[in-house]
This record gives sequence, structure tokens and C-alpha cells, in this order.
Amino acid sequence: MSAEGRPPRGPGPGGLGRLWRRRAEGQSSQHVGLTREQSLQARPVRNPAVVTEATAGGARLTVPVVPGRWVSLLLRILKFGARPNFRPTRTIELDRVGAFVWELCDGSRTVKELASALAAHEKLPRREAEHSLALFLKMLAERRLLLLQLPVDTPSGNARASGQSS
Amino acid sequence: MTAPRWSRFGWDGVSLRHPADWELVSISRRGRGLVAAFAGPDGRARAALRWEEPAGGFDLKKALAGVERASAKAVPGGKSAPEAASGFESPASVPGLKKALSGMKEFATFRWRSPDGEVGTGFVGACGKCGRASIVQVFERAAPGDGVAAEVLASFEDHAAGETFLWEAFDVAIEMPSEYKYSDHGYDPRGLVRLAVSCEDGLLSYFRWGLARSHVEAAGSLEGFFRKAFAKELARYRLRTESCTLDGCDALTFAPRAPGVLAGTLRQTLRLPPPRGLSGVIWFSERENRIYATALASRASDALERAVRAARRVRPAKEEAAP
Repeated sequence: MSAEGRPPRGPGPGGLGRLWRRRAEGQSSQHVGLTREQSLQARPVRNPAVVTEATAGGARLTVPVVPGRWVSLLLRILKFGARPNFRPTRTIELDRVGAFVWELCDGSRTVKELASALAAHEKLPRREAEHSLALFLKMLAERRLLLLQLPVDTPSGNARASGQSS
Repeated sequence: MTAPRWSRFGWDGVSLRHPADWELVSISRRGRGLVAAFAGPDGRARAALRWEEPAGGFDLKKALAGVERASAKAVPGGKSAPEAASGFESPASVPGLKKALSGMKEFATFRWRSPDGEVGTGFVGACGKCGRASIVQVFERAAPGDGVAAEVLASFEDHAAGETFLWEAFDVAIEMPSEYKYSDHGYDPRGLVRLAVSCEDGLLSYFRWGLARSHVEAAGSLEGFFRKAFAKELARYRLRTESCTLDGCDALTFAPRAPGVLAGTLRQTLRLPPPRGLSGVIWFSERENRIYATALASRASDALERAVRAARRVRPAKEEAAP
């Protein structure tokens, strides 16, 4: 705290520095160093809070969101919070291939098995299937739509949520 | 137990058979030549193939010394380490190789062992027809003996096909006249393969996209996809398109628009050559879930016809039974 009773600005223990540190800590707790083999043995699990709805082009995912401080304030001003069934959500549209992979992410299959299934379904070479799948799972994990369950023997521990993919 | 399936790699006259579960990871330039690297299903390197036109002729001793130096570098401690000196042997016995490589001008086999148990078996040699030098190596973790290395090495061919070469890599196979010269290529593991060769008429490019159904659905149609994929070319060459079918697949031909009256008259009066244009065909194979395209950048008036003819020589790569 500074002499005026306000937190100091700029890099340092408070202000932007604190924000930066908090973000960096948040990131380091999410990223786990994995080998390719470990990544392929991970099991993607869908977030149970996500509601899946089949559409003509693939699937629509409805994700409940926790509004931030400012949005909460705005909602309170607009009296949305008073409505009994009001739950803020966002929707994500998946194409046909995305919906196929999403359906298989039930925790029973490893990334390697998913890649094989994708390769067979879309007639892709194994490497291209693995690459496309890794990008897709990474995108879903970053949006917290799924978790990657890691094998027990990985140094990062069992059933750890991770934003990383192979 | 089922017999292992085999795939073929072919590039600019060089070809090789390898187990189907090995995958071509990259083809990159090194010095005056190219290097193709193959990996197994576990991601570990399984084979490497290097070929180049040697400057000032091929020298077997020099080439072999180069391989020995490279293998010593892989040993911790470099070539001064005792393992490096004892780990390299030449010639090495590889069953069936001498007969298989009888078409080569000269060659020498070698084998090296790294302290961590990696064994590399291969040969270095020069093509009997053109003198192009090649180094082929197969890497094994355990003691060699299952015969895969010998099968792969013995399947190597250089300039054996005659008037046409089969280019087979990254899940696409193209038969091309042998006088077509490699110009450039690109591979994006998200699904795009691009190969450009120079021919007498100009530059001929081949394209292949995976996940084709998704691409076409996202773009609304094959034409929509073409407009996205060839956006730069559309703007540069003022292309016109026309729907058609190619071997039962939905296709779209593209060619430069005819010049306006003023530009056409001016060119005729000044006797200028026609401008370089881009002509080609793009087609969607629903059965293979692939989009293919050929494009010929040329001044020739029958460029479109030639590009369509080239398109008929493209097919997906196939697996073969055990040799």
C-alpha cells in the first residue's frame, strides 16, 4: 500500500504487476508438460454442464457462463437476476466432424483411439487426423468444454484438468 | 497374424517401399538435395532417404566417410568417444541387397550402433543412369533381424520407371512424365498437400485437401471453396469458372477470361505474346473425402486441356501386400 492508502501502480507487488502475476500463476497451474505418448494416452471428458443438441450441420453446445463483475452489475441493474429461470449461457456451433469427435469424448476413449476413429471416419492419414484432433481438443479445453484425464503414471498426477493437448 | 501392409514412396524418380504404418513426416532441402524422413506409429524415426546431384561427380569413399561422421555426431561425446569408433561398420551384410541394387553404378552398405541401442542400417550409392547419389538408412531400436530393414533397403529404386515417374507421398499418387522437374512443395498436416513441377509449358501445381466434405459444407459449394482457396489467383488472373464432372466427381474448371476488345486489339497490333494465365481444374471426390486440383501457369492456349489431362493422372495412395 502506498502512503495515500492506494495500491501502487505499474509492475510491482500491486496494480498491473499483481494482475500479471495472477495470470501467470493461473497459466502455470493449467499447463502440464506432456510427452507425445502421454498426450495420446489422455482421455478427453466432456464438461457435464454443457448441453449438447444435434443440428442439421453438426451440434450446438450450450455452455452456462458465470458473468464477470461488470456484467453481473449490469444484470443486477437491468433486474435480470430477479427472474427465476434466468441463467446466462453461450452457444457454440460444431460442424459435422466436430460433433462426431465431441460425441466420442465420453472419457472411455484415449486421444489415440479418437484419432484412429477420426482417421477411419474421415479417411484421413493418421498424422493429419492426430494433428486436426489435437487442434480441436486444445480449442475445446481452452474454452473449458472438456478436460483431459491424464494416465496415473504421469508426473502431473491423476485426472488433472489441462488446457494442453498433444 | 496378418501380413504387414506396405506403402510406396516415390519422388522425382526415387522410390522406396515401407511398412504402411510408417508415415512420411517431411521432405526438406539439405544442401543440393532433398531428405525424406519417415516415422513409425510411436513417432520414432524409422527411415531417412537423402538424394542429390553430387557436385563434381560421385565419390563413394567420401560419401561413406560423411555418413560415418554424421553417425558419430549422434553419439554423446562426438567422434572422439570410443563408442563412435566401434559403432560404425562397412560393409554390413544385408540379405538380398546386392542383387536388388545391381542397377547402381557403385554402392556400399553400412551399419552403426549408438550406445542407447539404436541401430542404423543402410547404403550409400549412385544411380547407374544419371549418377545421382542416394543415402538410405533404416533405424531400429532392437537388434536387427525381422527383415524389415532389408526389405525396405532392397526396394529402393532410382530411375527405374522409364518415361514416367510415380510421385507418391503424403497420401497422394501422381504419374508424371519423367522430364517434369521438381520445383517446390508444401505439406500442412491440417490436410493440404501442394506439389509444383516445371514442364515445357510452364509451372504445373497439384493440390490435395483432406476433410473435403467439411470444407465444401462450410463454403456452401465446391465453387465457394475454390473462391476461398484460390482467392489470390482469382484476383491476379481474372479467372472464369465453369462446372463440369471429372471421372464422375463434381468439378470446376478455371481459365483466364478473354481479354477485352481494346486490350485484344492492342496485343494483336503490337504482336505481343499472350499473357501468362492460370488454367486448371478442381474436383471433389466424395468417395475419398478429398478435394484435388491441378493448375497450370502458362502462356499456352491449350493450358486448360493440359491441366485436365494432368488431373487424370492423380489418385489416392494405395497400400500393397507384403513384397
